[in-house]
Amino acid sequence: MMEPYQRPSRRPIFKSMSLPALSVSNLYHFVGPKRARQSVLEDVSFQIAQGEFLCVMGPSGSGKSTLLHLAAGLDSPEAGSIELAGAELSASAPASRTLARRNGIGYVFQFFNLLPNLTVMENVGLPLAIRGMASAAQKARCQDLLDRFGIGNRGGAFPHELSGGEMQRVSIARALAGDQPLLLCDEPTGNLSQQAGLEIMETLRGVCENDGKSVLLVTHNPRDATYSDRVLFLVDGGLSPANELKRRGDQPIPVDEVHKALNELGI
Amino acid sequence: MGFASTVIYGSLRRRPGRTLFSVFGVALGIAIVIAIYTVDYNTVLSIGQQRTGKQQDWAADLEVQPVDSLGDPNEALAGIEGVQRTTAVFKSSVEVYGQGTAGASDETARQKVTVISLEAERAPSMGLYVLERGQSMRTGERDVLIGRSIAEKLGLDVGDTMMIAKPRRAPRKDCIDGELVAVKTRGAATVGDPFVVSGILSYMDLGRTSGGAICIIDFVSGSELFKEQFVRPSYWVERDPDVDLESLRAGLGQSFSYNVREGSVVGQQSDERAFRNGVRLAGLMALALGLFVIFHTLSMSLVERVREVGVLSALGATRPQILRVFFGEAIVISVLAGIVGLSGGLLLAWQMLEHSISSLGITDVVRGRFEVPWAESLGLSGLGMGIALLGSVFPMLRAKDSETVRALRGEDLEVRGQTHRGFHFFLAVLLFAVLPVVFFTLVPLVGEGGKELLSVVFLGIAVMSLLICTPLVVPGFMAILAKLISIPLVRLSPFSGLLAARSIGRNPTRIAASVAAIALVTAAFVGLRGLTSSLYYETKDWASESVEKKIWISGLLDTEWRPIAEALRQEFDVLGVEPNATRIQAPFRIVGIPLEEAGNYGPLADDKLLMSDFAGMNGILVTSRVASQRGLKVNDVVPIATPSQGVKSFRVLAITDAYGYFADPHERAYGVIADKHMASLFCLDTDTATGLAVRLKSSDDLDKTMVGIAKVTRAFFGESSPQASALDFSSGSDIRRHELHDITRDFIVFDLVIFLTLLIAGTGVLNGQLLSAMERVKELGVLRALGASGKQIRNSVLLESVVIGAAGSVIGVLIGFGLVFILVDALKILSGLDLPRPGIEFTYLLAAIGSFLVTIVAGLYPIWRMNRMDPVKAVRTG
Repeated sequence: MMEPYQRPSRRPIFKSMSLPALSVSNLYHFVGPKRARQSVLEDVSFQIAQGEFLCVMGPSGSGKSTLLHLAAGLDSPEAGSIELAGAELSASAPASRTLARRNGIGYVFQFFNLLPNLTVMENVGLPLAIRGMASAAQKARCQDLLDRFGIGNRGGAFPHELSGGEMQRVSIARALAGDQPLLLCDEPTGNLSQQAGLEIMETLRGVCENDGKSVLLVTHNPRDATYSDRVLFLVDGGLSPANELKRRGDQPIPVDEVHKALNELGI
Repeated sequence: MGFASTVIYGSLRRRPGRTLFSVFGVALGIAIVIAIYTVDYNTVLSIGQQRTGKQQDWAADLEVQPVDSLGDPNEALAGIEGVQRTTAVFKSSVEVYGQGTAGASDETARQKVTVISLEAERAPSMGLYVLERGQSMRTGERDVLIGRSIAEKLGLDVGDTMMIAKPRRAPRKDCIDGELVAVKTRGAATVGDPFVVSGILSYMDLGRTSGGAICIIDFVSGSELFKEQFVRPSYWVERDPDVDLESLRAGLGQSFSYNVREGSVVGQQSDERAFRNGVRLAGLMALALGLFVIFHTLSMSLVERVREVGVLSALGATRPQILRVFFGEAIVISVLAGIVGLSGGLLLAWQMLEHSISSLGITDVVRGRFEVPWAESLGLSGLGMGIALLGSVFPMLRAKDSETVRALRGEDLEVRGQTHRGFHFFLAVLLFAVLPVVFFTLVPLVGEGGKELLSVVFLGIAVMSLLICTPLVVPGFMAILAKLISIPLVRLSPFSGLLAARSIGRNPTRIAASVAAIALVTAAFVGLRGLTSSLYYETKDWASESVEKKIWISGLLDTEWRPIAEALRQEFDVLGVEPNATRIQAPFRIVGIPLEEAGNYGPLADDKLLMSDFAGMNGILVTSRVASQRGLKVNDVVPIATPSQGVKSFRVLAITDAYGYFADPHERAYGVIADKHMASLFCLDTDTATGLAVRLKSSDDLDKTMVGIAKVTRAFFGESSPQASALDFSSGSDIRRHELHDITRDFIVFDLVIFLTLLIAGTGVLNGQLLSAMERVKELGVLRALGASGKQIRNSVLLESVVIGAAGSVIGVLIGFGLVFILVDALKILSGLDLPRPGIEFTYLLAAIGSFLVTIVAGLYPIWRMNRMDPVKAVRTG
């Protein structure tokens, strides 16, 4: 009998379930040397509700990945605020941001970023190991996730022995291993075939619907955007609220509407 | 497994090459330094034992005798640098018997023992003896400490009374004007004076004298006991080990004659110190280079692992958690290196000793001895491990959060310049300041010359660190160099050259570190070769004055030498003949030469005034080595103790190596006086000899002349006589060859250290190349996918090795050329040798070629690894 996974009790980041999972207000960010600073994000504001699947679209260099890095607390904005379930993240000390990331955010990368020296099982177990969970409990939880994503028999393999789709599934399993309420996904299908990409998006949608996770997806793939509840468009570092798309009931956002919005924005 | 252990285990398991070569680099550095210390430790033990082996009784470090005019010798001695403690002493033999058990006439109950009179208030603090029971004697009291043997034979214990009687003296003779004159006749048995046994001596130190047949009394009581007899007291001196023997000798200089107990000064002679300190410094260099290699291996591996750090950070691992991963990995590598280094070092030391390699050159004396100085070995091992740990963790402490974001963006993963500069500053401080200070605390340099030498050493280290760290601290310099280098490379091989040039340009710090490692070893080799050349030229200079026109005859059976000299003069152009018979040791070796012979060559032939002074009573010629070791100049005074005429002062007339050298025993530090003084002051027989040095007019056909001299000498004794067959002959050219060969042979220990150090440098280059290949695995995979052949990629690595090897060799030779002067100056300070500065040697070119080849070989493993890479896997690994 598999041991049920116990969510860690130490979760200071979420003050209340009624608060948005992520709230971004008036965000500004620049890069480059002081004399030649370039704006990456300008006055960006949005919220993600608990259990919502939000997609941010934009062309390359529009600031999508920077937005994710800031949302994850990997970097600090020049101005503005980022709240993770009501807790201010942007002004926190690096140590607090790390703690918030550990307990509140799962991260899925475009390039998978699996540690090549570790097996699949060890990679998935990393967030739990970081929290200090016992090895046996880690294994049970990881095996559960691997089984769920159809790669239960690949636990002992190393990343280079997997296909691209498998690697990304391992990456998602790793993001879910810590049972964090918010998933940040950076072009998760960017390196995958169409079929593998579809499977990954199905998986992410399932995570949102079945597990109640909030998902922030950045992508430039219109098909991926259709799996979300809401689509925002980021152009030259700023959001375009007028072009926002929303899911209607159980119906996915039509891909044509996404294409149309992209055309209107000249993307 | 916990988080840290999971990541550490995974990293070590999946990167066995990196782990192995990191461990190897540090272990080799630790092993070399432990081997050197252990060999030196055993060398001193073995040679000390050999020198004191014949000596049954305990002896003080130095025994000195004051000149008659000196007031209070103890006070005078206290003011001399290097004198720690002193006591007046005189020795005699007495007869002892127990009170009431045997009378003065009872010959059978009397025991002959050695009595030593020491100053009661000074002797105990010198640790001359250990008491089994009882207490030490008191000043002016008739207390006696007795040896175990006497206590047992006479049945005495603490509190008993023992009678001490002056012996019936044998007829005593003094040397008066060259004649041995009887000054006392044999006396009758004397009645003993009562002494109370205050303590029994343990059978150690002085207590072992005469097999325990010893008694020690207070100096004042002893003087009273022997008041009617002539007693010349000496002074025992305990020397300060931190002060050079030469300084002490110079301090004793004009007021004391002295004898040094050889066993107490093993490895303390100036040339021995120079050699031992040289070996120790070579060890320090090896350790520094070993750590330099590990620093850069781990620093480069950090670059390789920035993405990993980024991922871990994105997953919520805190900085301390990530630090624990790197620290844990460094601990594993350091501990493994410490264990391997300690075991390897001891194994190497054992093998060196078994092959007669000592810290004083090649000598069979050290074979069969192997004792481990555990405290120092463990300390050195710990030092290597500690610094490796510090160096490996530092880059992590400096890695900024922003690197995480860059890593996740898939940007070029290079740790930023500021971090590099900080790291290399830290590295420079650690390797060139902290390491030498801790090293010299654990393994101090031998002798006080260390103080002067240290400043030279630190100057050398500063120059080298400046030269070596400059390209590290300023990567821009290397970037410019890389651009320049890329031009011919691209022309040579457009594709491979471009790859190599780009790789060099992208990783200037890595290339600079590899270049620095190779340069350091090349410089050390060139420096050492320069030093050997300097010693070589010094010996050549000495040989040209001392031995080049001489033939030595040995094996004479105490023969009248003048007729032989006459016979040789008839046949050959002989300028003079020096017999070896008249030699004494006070305060250094003094050789007597006949005036009529020495006046025909050398400075005595050139300067009539000098000759007349030399013929006078107080003239001495000293060799250049004695002069430099003792700081003697012309007109200085050398006190020489005589057996019955007190201490005589001799004036230095000239500094020359032209007279008095004999190969057995080989000693270049001596003085020469006229043999008539030997006869009058020491009553030595100046007419017979066991060996002769024949000075010829010319060195032409010396070996041919030697054959002729052998023929004539044998004919002189009769071809079939036992004397003729016992004769042996050697020429100046033989001795010169032998001496020069010895220099090369003794320096094999340095060659060994340099070779091992070159291995470390090679490991550093290999690590760098390997990490570069691993770091570029994706890029190389893509190139393979685009159609680049394995050969093209291999050539790019090989070209990189060529650049590193060429730059390292050239820079190394240039630095080494400067280092030669520093080393020669350091050795001058240490040894007091008048060393010439060598010019450009052919071996410098060999050093450059050797280093270059090692660099090329070091590139082969990364090439092999790259060949094993699957390009498909390389491009797929995320």
